[in-house]
Amino acid sequence: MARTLLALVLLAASVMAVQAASIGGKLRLRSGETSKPVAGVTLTARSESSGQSAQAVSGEDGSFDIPVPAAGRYQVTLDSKTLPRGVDLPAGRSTTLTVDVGEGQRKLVIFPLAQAGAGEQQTGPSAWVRFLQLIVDGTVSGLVIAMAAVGLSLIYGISRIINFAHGEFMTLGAILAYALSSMEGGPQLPLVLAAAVSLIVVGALGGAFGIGLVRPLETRAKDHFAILVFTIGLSFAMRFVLLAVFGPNSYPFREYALQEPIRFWGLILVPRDLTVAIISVLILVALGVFLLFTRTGRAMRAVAANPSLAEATGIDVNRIKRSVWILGAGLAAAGGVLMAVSQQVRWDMGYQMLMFVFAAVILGGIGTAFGTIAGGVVLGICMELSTLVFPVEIKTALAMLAMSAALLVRPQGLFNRAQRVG
Amino acid sequence: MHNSTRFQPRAAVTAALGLCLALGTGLSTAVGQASAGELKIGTLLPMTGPAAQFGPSMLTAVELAAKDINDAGGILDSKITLVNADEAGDANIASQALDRLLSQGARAIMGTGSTSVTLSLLDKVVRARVSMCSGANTGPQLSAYPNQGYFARTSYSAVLLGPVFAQMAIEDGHSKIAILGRGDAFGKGMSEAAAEAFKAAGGEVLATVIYDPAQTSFDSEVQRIASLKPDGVIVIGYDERGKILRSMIERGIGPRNVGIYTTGVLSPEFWKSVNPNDATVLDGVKQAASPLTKGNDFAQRILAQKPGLGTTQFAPEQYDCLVITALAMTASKSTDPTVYKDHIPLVTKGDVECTNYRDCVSALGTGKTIAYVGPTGPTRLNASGDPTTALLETYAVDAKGVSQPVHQIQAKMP
Amino acid sequence: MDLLNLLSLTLRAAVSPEAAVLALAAVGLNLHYGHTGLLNFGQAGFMMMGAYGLAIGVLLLGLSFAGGVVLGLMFAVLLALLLGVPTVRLRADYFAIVSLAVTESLRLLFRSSWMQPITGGVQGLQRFGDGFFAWNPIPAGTYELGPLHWNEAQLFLCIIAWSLVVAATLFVRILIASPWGRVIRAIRDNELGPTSLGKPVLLYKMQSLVIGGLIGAVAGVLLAVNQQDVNPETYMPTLTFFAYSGLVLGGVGRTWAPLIGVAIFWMVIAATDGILAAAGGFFPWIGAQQIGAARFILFGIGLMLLVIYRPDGLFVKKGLQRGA
Repeated sequence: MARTLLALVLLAASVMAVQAASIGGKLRLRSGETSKPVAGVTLTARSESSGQSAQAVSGEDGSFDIPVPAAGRYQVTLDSKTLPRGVDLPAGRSTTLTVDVGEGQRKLVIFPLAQAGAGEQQTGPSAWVRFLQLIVDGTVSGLVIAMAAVGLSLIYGISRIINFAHGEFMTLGAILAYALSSMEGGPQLPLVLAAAVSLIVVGALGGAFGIGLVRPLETRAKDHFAILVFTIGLSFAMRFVLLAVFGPNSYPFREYALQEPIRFWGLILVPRDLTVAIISVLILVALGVFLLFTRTGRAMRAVAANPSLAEATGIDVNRIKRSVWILGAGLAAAGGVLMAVSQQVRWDMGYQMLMFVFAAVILGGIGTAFGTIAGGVVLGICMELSTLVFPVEIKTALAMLAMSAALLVRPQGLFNRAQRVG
Repeated sequence: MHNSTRFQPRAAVTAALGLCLALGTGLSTAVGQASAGELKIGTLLPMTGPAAQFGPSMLTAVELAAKDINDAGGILDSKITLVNADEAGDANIASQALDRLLSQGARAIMGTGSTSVTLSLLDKVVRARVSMCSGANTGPQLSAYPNQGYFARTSYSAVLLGPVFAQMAIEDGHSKIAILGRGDAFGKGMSEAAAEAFKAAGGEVLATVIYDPAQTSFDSEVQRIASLKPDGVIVIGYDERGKILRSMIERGIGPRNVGIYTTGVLSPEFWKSVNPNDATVLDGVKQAASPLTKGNDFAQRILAQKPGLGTTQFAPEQYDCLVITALAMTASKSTDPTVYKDHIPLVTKGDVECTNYRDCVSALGTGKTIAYVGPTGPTRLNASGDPTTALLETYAVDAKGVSQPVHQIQAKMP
Repeated sequence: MDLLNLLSLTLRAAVSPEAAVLALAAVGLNLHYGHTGLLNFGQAGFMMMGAYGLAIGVLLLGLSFAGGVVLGLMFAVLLALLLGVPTVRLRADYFAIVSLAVTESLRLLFRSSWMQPITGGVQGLQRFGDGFFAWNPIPAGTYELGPLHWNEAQLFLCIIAWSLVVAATLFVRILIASPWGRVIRAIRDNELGPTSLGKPVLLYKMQSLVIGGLIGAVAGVLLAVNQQDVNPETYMPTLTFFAYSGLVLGGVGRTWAPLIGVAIFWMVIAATDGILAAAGGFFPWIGAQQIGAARFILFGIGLMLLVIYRPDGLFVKKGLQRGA
């Protein structure tokens, strides 16, 4: 009681002496998920220069404030005899701390407290759980990359054009879906419907783009450089129109915004990401079936392999090319919507993804949809796994470097048939 | 005929260039002069590029400051006219934009929005002998750069600001924290300084995770931090904080579970970037930002100047940049940067404290030295234009998503 | 903004060091793509090598300015070998994204904490160019030519920069006119030709990559000296795109295309900036952000129109064959 009174007096004194320096803090006892304040503990501050000491006792809420006469270096000691029974500093933690107090400054210090004999602190999940978690996260992000990349690969297969504006098709898909489903003042459609509309619109746009603009250029420039530059120009124009219209901030979709995660085997997965993964897999499998087993799909692969031969067998090459552009753009939009569900909608989200798309395509093999899909998933998983050994901030750089290294071994891509890409 | 179609356009362009040169030669003295009674101030702010979210906020602040200064009579009987440019986060574009501002006769430049752009321009600024002031640059290297007084900033170096995050966490009684910081000049310096300060105070930093700004997903980083079970988490980044905070809430380290301390002013609409269906989602998140000193209803005024601003981060700082520059011009009785630049630090640490342009000019009129304290708080710039002291306000987001002031923290350059 | 101001601004942009840097980078690209058919999208990486070599040499190794430049050139050669050896046999557009990805990964590495002790990480390195300005023979003062004015340091930099552009252009022209150049052009047109004649095509392509990369490195050195700062954010793919835009404007494969094309390109950038800034005053409902975005939108549209209507450069009408 007297101690508390003393503490209150000291506290009041330090509050009144506004300009005086002091050393303060808050003592809390951690037990599991909660922490309780620890009162009645004595702390002493001893000046290194003058040898003078001052004391304070922690109050009801655990906070203490030791007024010190002047700036300088002080040794702050916690009197462990005044700690409640069963409470102690963690092993290896000294009861003394050295601090420099500035003029008129309230310097804060920390004395962590724990249950005595609590044993070794849990240091987090086991290496095995961490490994699995990274695989789960990597698969989700890898599938998003694969969805983003497969459209580019298909279009390249048909027309040997790398569409630099591919990222913008993705962003457009996501922004359209956002405008239709989540924007304030908009129609507020359910996301599934909004996404479907968005896919159709962007697909049609892609088809129009492929036929209207690219084909006339295709017949003129024999080496596609001009088209490449054209797509770069389109990328800039579209991206900054989206900035001007959508603004620089990022927003999530109204649905799936915040969810309770699923927990299993010590792993964690948000239902949203699971949905994205499942839908990606479904779409990619459907794509595979389409390409392998339907007439149009087989025609597409024929045109990609050898256009003149395909034409000779009676395939309408122009119709197929248009269909591939529609399909590629639609897949880009789907990739954009899925990416936005898993992450958020942003004006340059597609452009941010473009580097990863290129990496996936190089890794997996350009021109082959299956190789690209595999490349995307492998890229996603490897990027996450790399953080076990390397710091997170070079995750992207390592991905690019690994891809570059893979080139040394197999320039046409890991999953491509051995073929000339020269 | 082949030749004539090929050479014609070339000849035309050459002729046009020659004409420009001739015209310009004849009238070179007329170029770049402001009309009498008009003082041009340039803004070089991130309207596009990675820092684009801050551009409108900083520009509105400069516009508000210019309005306040002009309403109080302008600078040395001249009214301010703003000439605006976009630095685009790109050194080449910014360099060309700076040229344009200089050619338009700007007497001071307000900008830029990121330390890396400023560093790429600083040599040019010094060589051109023009004064630049930024409210957003936090990189520590600017403190040591020999700028001959031509650069000043009202934003604090990460070395000054980092420990403030640590302090907020300690005040809440946390002893184990984790830090998640953006891997660029802004985030890294801040994260490292915060970690240092927290450890020096006796706390434990479980992990400092610096993420790649090129990342689009942060789930695995957040999961790593969540699995370490910290008491508090410091989050330092740009608008990707929306994604990060959402991920944190889902993984059990949201504001209802741990203390969250982040940068700058979260706009009243920021919660929509986390969960557009629930305004209480950020309840309890803390930030440290300018105190917006009492008697200066800056927050309302800036939103009245431009309703619908996404964020007001760096607005108080950029506002003060223009006012301090204007006061330096008034105090030195000159708009020539080579003359007034030395007064820029002096008007922030004189004898008489004043809180707005009008009062400060009156005080200067009576021959006193002034210390301007605006919405950023006291800065006390040193000779290199660096703030040596910071008064910050801890804000906590309430159940409606609005940041409410809690109390003030004084920080000093160590 | 009045018309005279706009003209002087545009003129200043045309002769600015920034334009010279892009022009030099474009000369290298002209050799790579215009003459050899190597679609190098990583030129910004070569510029980065030159710039960082200079900065690291001067600041960390204590070399003189000249020594730093040599180090930068050596880094560029290393990059050319690293990039080229596995990939130079790839098809043009495939090589494009590979070169882009490799140089991007290098840039990200340079930015990381791991390389911070050498490259300065995210903060970069500053103040290493004093050796260059020490060579300045021009006396202090302001120099005017028409509406343009420079101080002695800026003038020196401009003169040196543009002299290098002209020198590099002439060098490439001589190179192309030589027997080596004829093989290179034959490779560009159809690789089978020289291969069937027994020429080591890959070796020639590597040589071209190295030389063009060295020119890019010199551009990087100039850029670094201009800013007295090297920073990973400067060497983004956008830099390569700008150089290519200038090259396409001038006409790929033509001798003076890099110089004229980039000068015009940079003038357009300056002019659109000035015009949009003035226009913004007339339409207050357009925000400053939209104005900033508008410039890049115009750039994108301009590029698209250029490619459709003038694919061989601004000066060559549609339908004419590319010059020999």
